[in-house]
Amino acid sequence: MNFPFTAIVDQEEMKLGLILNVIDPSIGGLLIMGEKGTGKSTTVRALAELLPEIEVVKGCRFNCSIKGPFCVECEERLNRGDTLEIEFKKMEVVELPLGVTEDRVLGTLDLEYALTMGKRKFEPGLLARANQNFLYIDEVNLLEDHIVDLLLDSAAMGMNRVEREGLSFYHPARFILVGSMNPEEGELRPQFLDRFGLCVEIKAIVDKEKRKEVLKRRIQFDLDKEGFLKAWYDEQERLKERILTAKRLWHEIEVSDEILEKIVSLTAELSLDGHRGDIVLLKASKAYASFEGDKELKTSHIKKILAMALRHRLKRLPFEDPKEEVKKLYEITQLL
Amino acid sequence: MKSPSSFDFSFVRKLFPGVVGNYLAKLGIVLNLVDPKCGGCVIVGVRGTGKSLLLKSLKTYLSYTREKFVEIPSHAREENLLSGLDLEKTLEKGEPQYIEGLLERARGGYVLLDDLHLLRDDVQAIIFENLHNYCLITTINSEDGEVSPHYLDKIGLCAPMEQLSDRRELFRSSLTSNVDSSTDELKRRIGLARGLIKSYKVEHHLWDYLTERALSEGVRTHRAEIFLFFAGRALAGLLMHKSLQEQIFDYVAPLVFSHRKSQKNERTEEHKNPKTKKENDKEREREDRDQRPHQAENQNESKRGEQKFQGEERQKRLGETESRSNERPIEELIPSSSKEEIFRIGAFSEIRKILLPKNRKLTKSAGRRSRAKTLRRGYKLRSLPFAKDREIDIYETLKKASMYQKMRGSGERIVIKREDLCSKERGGKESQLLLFVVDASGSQGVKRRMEAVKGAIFSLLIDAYKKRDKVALIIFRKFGAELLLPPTQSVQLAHRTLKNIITGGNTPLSAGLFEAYRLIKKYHYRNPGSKVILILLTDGKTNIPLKKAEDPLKEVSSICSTLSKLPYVYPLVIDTEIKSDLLRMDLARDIAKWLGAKYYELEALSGEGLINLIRTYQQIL
Repeated sequence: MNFPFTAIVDQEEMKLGLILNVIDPSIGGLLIMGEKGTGKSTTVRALAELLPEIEVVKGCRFNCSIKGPFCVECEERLNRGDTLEIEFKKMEVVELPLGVTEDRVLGTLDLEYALTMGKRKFEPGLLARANQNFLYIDEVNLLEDHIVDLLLDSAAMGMNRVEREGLSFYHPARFILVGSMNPEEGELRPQFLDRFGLCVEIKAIVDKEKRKEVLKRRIQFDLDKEGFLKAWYDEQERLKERILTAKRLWHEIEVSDEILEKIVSLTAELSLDGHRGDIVLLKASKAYASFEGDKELKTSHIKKILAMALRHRLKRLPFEDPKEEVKKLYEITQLL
Repeated sequence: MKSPSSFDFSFVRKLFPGVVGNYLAKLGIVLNLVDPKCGGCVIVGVRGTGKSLLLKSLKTYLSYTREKFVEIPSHAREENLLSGLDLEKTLEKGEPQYIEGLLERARGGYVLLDDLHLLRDDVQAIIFENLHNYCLITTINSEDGEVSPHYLDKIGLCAPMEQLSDRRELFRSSLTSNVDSSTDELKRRIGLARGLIKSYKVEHHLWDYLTERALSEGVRTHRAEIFLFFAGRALAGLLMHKSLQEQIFDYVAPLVFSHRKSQKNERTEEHKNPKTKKENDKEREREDRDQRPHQAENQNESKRGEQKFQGEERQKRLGETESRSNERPIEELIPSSSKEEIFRIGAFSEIRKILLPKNRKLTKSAGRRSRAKTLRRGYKLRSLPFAKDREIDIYETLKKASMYQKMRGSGERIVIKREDLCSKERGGKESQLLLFVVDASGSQGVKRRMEAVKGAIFSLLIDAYKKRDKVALIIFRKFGAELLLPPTQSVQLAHRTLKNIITGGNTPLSAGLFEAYRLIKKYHYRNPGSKVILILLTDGKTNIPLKKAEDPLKEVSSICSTLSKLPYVYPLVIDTEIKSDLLRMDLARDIAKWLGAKYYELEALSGEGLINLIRTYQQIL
C-alpha cells in the first residue's frame, strides 16, 4: 500500500511534472533535482498507485499493450492466427538500481530454459517490466555510462533490441522515465540531460506548518494505512478522473499560430540547441491546458511550464553560477 | 548535573552485557527491536570498539528469541542477495534448482550487516533499494570507507561506538557468557513495549514539537522527524510509559539527527551568528601564533556555545536551563562513577565529520578513458576458462557443450559438463582521478601557483563531461593539509569551493602528501582498477613535519617512497621555485626522484602549459 498522491504536501512542481507525463507520455520523462528525504520516490510510487490498471496482452512477458506495438512473441502469436486476450495489471514503478548489469536491464538468455530444453529463449529484463510503467532511477547522475547509453537507445526508439549471445530479440519498451539527482554529487551528461522531457527542482520544506503536515500525514498513514486511504479516497478518485479526462482530450487542445510563434521566439531568445526544447514546451503546455480543463492553449499555460521544460536545456558557461540561469529563465518569462 | 526528569533508564545498563558501555548504540538497536519502523540503526566507530561484538550479541538475542533475521557478509554479491538459479546444482541434477536470496529470506525481519562500507557499490544499491522489506542493523568503520549520505539518510538511527579507555574491560566482557537472565528480561520488556506503543494517542502539540525540533536542529530531510517519532514512541514503550510525553523525544534526538545534519548546515549556522564567527577566527589566529594543536577542541567548544545560544528560547519553554538538551539523555544513561563510560558529546560531531564531510562526493568508477577489467559490468571482451569468482559466459558454454552432445548421448536434454563452462571478461572504461596536491603556503609565487591550478582544474572539469574523469584538490599550508575538493565531476561544486582559497603560512609538505596517500588508498579501494594522476605543485621547501622533531625533508622522502610503490599512481611534480632566485635549492627535483615522477618547472610552462601537459600525460596512460 502506497501513500496517497493527493496527501502529499506541497512540491507542486514535481507533482505537476509527473502528471503531465502521464497525460502525454511522449513528453519524455521527468528529472527531479533535489535533496534527499524530500519524498521523490514516494511521489512517483503514489502516482502509479493512483492511476488505473494498464491493459496488456494476456500472458505476454513484456507487458505488450493490446494496441501494439508487439514483441517478437506476440507477433508470432498473431502470425499463427491466435487472438490476443486482454489482461489488466496494476501500474508499477520499476526501479533501476545503481550498479545494475547490462543483462538485468536488457534481458538475457534464459539459462534455465537453455539448460533444460537445450534451446535459446529470451529472459526479460527491467526494460520489459518497465514497459507501460514508470522507470525510476534514483541518483541517475551516478549511473554508469554504458547503462545510460542503453537506456537512451531504448527510450528514444520505444523498443528494446537485443542482439547478443546468439539471441536476436525485440520488444516494446515505452516507459515514463523518472530520474532523481543531487547536482552537487556530479553532473549528468548533457545528452542524457536533454533526453528528459521536463526537469523540476525540489527542496525540503522549511515552512513549519507545512512541514508539520508532512509529518502528521506520514505518521497517520504508517499507523493506520487503511483508515488513511479511506479518508483520502474521494480526493484520489477526483484527481484520477481529472487526469484521465485530460489524457483523453489533450490532443484536441487548439493551438493558434500566434502561440506557436511565441514559443519559437522564446527558445530562439535562449539560443537552445536542437528542437527538443520547443517540442517539449508545446507538448507539456498542451497537457497542462488539458489538465486545467481548457480548450485552447494560452500564454498562461506556457508561463507555468516554461521553467520545467527548459531549465535543464539552457546553455551554461562552464563556470557560470547555476543561479544565473534561473534568473535568465524568469526574465524570459516576463516577456510573455 | 541533575536532570529534572524522573525517567528510569536503569534497564539500559543491562542491555547486551557482553559489550561494555556504549548505551546509546545499544539503545539504537533495542528501539528497532521494539518497533522496526524506527528505520534500522547504523553504528559508527573506529576499529576495535566492539561494533562486531555488539552485532554478535544482537544475533545471539535474535536466535534465542527466535526472531527472523539474516546475516549478510560484507563480501556478499548480487547473486547471494537476490533469488536466482543455483547453477552448480542445476547442472548436477539436470533440472533447475533455485537459491533463495538472503534479502528474500530477510523479508519482515532483521538484516545484520557488519562493515557496510566494505560492500561493493552495486551490492549497497540492492540493499538500500529493498530497505522497506526489512530492518537493517549495520556498522561502519569510519577509518576505511565511506557510505553515501543519500543512503545514510534512509537508515533511521545512528549511534557512535566509543573507544574504551580500559581495554581489559573489553577483554573481560567478551569472555562473559552471552545468554543469561538479562536476555529473558529484555525479551519480556520488548514484548511489553510492543504492545504498549500501539495504545499511545498522539496529542496535537506533539506534531508541533517534533517539527520544531527538526527545524531547530537544521536538518532538511523530512525523514528526521518521522524517525524521531517512531524512536521516541519505542523508547516510551520500553520505559513502560502510559502515554507519549514530549520529553521522551529529547532522549532519542541524538540518534536521529547526528547523521542527517550536514556540515554545510553547520557552516550556515556559523554565518548566522557573526559574533561566533569572529571569535572562531580570532581563535584560529591565536593558534597560528602559538602553534597549539587544539584547534578542533576549541572550535567544538565555541560551536557548543553557539548552539546553546540558539536553542535557548526553546529550552526556556521546556522549563530547562541546563546546557543542550542533547546532553541530558546521555548524562542520564551514564553512572557518574565509572569514568571510561562517560560519553563524549564530541563523538556526535565526529560522526558528522566522518560520515558527512563537507561537499562530499560519491565515488564511482565507471568512466570512459582507461579500460578496466571489472568482473560484472561493461561489455563482454572475451571468453576465459571458468573460475568460480567469474561470471559464466552462457553462450560460449553452450557452444562448447554442443560439440559433445552426440558423444554424451544426451537425448532430449543438453548435457553440460564442468569442463564446458566458460567465463566472461568484461571491459568497461575506468575513469582517472586527477589529484592536485598544491602548496598554498606563503612562499614565493603562491598567487601564480594557485591561478594555474584553478585554471587547470576548471578546464579539466569541462572535459570531465565527456571523459568522466574526476578531479580532487588537496592544499597544504600553515600546519596541515586539507582536502578542499573531494573527487568530483561537479563543475558546480568546484566553482563554489575554489572561489576563495586562502593562502599563506608554512609549508607542511609531508602533511599534504600524507593526505594524498590516504585519499588515494581510500579511492582505490572503492574504485579498483582506476588510475590516479598525482600532480604535486611545490617548491619543495618543506618546513613543518608531521611528527614533532622529525626532519621534514626526511619525512617527505619516506612518504614519497611509499607513494611510489602504488602501481596505480602516476605522479607529476611541477616545481614552482623561481629559478632566477639566488637561493634556489631545487628540492622539488629530488622529490620528483623519490616519487619516481616526471618533473617540470612551472616557469617553463607558459599560459595553458600546465593543462596541455596534463592532457598529454593522460593520453599516454
